[in-house]
Amino acid sequence: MDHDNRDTYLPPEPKPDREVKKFKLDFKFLISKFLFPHLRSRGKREYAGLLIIRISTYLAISYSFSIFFGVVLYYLNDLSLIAGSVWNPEEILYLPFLFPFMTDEAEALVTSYILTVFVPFLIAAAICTIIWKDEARDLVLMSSFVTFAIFVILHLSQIIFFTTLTANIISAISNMWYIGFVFIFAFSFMIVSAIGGSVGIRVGKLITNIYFSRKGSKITYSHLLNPEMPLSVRTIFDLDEPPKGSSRQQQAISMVYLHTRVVKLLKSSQKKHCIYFTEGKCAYLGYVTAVHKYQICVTDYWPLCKIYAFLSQSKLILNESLVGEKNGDKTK
Amino acid sequence: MTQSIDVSQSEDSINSVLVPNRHLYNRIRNISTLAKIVFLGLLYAFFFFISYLLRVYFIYSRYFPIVSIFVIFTGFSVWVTSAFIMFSVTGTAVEKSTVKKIFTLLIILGVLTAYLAIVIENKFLSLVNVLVETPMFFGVATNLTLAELINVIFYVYLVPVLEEIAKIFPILILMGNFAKISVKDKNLVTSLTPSHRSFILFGAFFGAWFDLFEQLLSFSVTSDPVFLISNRTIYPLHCVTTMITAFGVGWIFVHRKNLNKVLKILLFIASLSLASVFHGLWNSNFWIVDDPAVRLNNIKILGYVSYGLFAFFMLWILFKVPKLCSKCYTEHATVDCTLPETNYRKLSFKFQRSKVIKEIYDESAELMRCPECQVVLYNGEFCLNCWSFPKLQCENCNQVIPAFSRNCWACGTEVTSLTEKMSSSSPPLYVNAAVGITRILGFGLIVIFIFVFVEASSTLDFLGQAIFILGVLISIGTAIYWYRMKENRVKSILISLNISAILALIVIVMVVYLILIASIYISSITQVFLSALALVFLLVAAVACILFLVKIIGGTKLIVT
Repeated sequence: MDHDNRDTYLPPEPKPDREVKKFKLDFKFLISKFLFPHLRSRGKREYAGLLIIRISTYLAISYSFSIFFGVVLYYLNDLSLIAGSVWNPEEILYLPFLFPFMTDEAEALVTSYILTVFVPFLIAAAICTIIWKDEARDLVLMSSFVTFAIFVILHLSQIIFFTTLTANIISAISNMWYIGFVFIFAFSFMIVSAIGGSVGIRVGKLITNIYFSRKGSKITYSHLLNPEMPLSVRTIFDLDEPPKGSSRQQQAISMVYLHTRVVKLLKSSQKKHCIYFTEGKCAYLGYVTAVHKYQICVTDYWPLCKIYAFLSQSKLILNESLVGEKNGDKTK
Repeated sequence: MTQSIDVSQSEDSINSVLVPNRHLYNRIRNISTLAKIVFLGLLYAFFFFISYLLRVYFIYSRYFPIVSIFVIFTGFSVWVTSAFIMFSVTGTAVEKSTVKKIFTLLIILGVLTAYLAIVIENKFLSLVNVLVETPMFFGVATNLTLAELINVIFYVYLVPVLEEIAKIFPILILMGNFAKISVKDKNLVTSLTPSHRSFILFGAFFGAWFDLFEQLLSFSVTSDPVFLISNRTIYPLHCVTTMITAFGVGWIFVHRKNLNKVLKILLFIASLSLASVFHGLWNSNFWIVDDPAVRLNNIKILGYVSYGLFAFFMLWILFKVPKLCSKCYTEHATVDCTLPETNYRKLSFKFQRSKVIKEIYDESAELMRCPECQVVLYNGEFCLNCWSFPKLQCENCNQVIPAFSRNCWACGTEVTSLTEKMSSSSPPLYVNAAVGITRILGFGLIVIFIFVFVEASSTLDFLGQAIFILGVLISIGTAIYWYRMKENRVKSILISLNISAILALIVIVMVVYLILIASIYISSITQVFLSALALVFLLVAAVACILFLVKIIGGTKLIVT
């Protein structure tokens, strides 16, 4: 027993040294840093969801600008070609890629590359930077990869087959270099859109610095030095009691069941707007009571929640430690 | 004693909210109902009178196109109004407030469905053209019978099926989602389609929207508008076919706890094919029957049948008052709603296979004692024994901290909470992808629409098409505007799911189309190699689309607040 040998001193054993790993390039890390430098502390799945939605907005803005400039360039006199895409909405996906190939002249090709690829992506990136600040940088490279993929898929699958005038196309396909041609153009699209996007990000940063800069916060916390808790507890909803089981596994499952139940019911309550609670940063706003009720602390000023929650918890720790001392007294 | 009285009172209040009694049937004999029916009768009379007047008087007038469009709109309002009035007479509070909650959503879904269903038809039109012209490409003389055969196959057998699928899709999307409503100061969460008759109502609504847009389109194309008004507008064709499918889907919904998966699919296919047969019979008049007199006769017979079916469904909506369950607030055939138990069983089955949860099971060392009651428990959100505060233990300093927290408040190290381990707050991948694709398409469509409108005189010669495109433009604009509004986020997700679902259908149609063309035209070995490469991409896209559709039909479980 430990308390029998308490007079003998046992020095703590030194921990075994950790093995120093050899230096190795972590390509996974490097690629993730290259593609998404602002991943930050968000959960990976959450960030993936955000990324998809933001990339789509970015591409939507750039596509609409591209179509706009393309129409201004080519179709202002004859809209019959573009009017058809009202009835084939999937054509919108590859319309921006078609504009640069409308003419044979080299100068016109360069002009259309600049007007229908570079400038739209630049504008879209500038707008996105104004909205999402540094995180807009993550969109640029990923979305240029997406455009590359769209280009290759659409050209190889659709443009080859999607015509009834097959004679010329078949002769073009039968030359092997057609595929190489598609890949080269897709690659050029990727690079030009990426350059346009990254320039646009600089432009967006410039604009935010000039027009949307924040002049430093002037909030003082003096009134919070000795705050009175404005939190009041309210019952949000009643819970069904989950079926109890004897085995540990069943207990675990019913716990998970309860969790999903609470999440589902919370969704329907208005309290989901507290960002600290929904993002899992604040621990103390919601809890289950012994009578199958889900309660939540209510305050009108959510930014204070975090502070109040922390203070209330520190008070709770104090109480707990006091209880512990009392218990210790009892054992004596 | 007092407690038991309270309980009985609360049960009574719940029953008065949910369980319909004779009071609902008494409403049929009210004066307000009489007024509604008189109004409906007047509306019908006006509709038939003005369509008659069009044939007799306005045909020589220069206002003919405007009056024709007015007649088409009146027809639409007649079918929709009669369905909603029948519903309003005996509708329970839950059903009514659900419909009220999502009414704008229904309108936008209706417009977009009609538009995209017509887009599918457009795709089929080009496919038919290709197949008809194919023999010419090989030097075979144009065979009229072959062309006719292809036309008959597509318009009589395939297009009806596709249109019915496109029209029923919004209902399938709505089916797996929920609405938060307040009935008599009580907050409830119920399905967006709580009862059998709400399915029929939505079917009538979406069918009528499709009918409206198809008629506007055919009005802008047809050479004989009077034939269209007198033999098409006055019959509720699409309304009835969609109601037939919706009836079947609703029956499956009501019996969802008794039927197994295969039976459900078979019943759905049966109802769909019933509707498609009716639709195909109608279409066959224009492609198979040559004699105009016989064609007119057939159309009349089918039109009267459609009137009969419409009346049947209206009476069904009026008299089939549902018995809503007091737990889940929806209609189902079984008496008891075993919601917690079945959900629990489903979840346990799901979680036992889930990788993350399995890892937590296996590492039983993570199980810790609840500091409150000292019972060994899972380190989850709540203590099952004492229902106390959620806890976790910091791996660094062994401090007990709540499971929701991300940082240990004692030592400050990052702790992965259980919520993070199990789920995330963001919607699943396919929902995000649907929203993304809808954004890209929507912005592009709006830009193109604007340019097409600028040049409206050269590209759109007809009033019908212009009104049609304007409706679609408004709805897409509204959908994109809704993305920015937090409160309507779920509604915008549902809209984008609908748009992308029909887009997925288009892609599937196109894959079939391209495979057919490829198999016709390929002759040399290099072409075989190249086309195989291209077809791999296409098949991957098609499989992704099918998976997406299956996911949507499974239900996204979103709550409209």
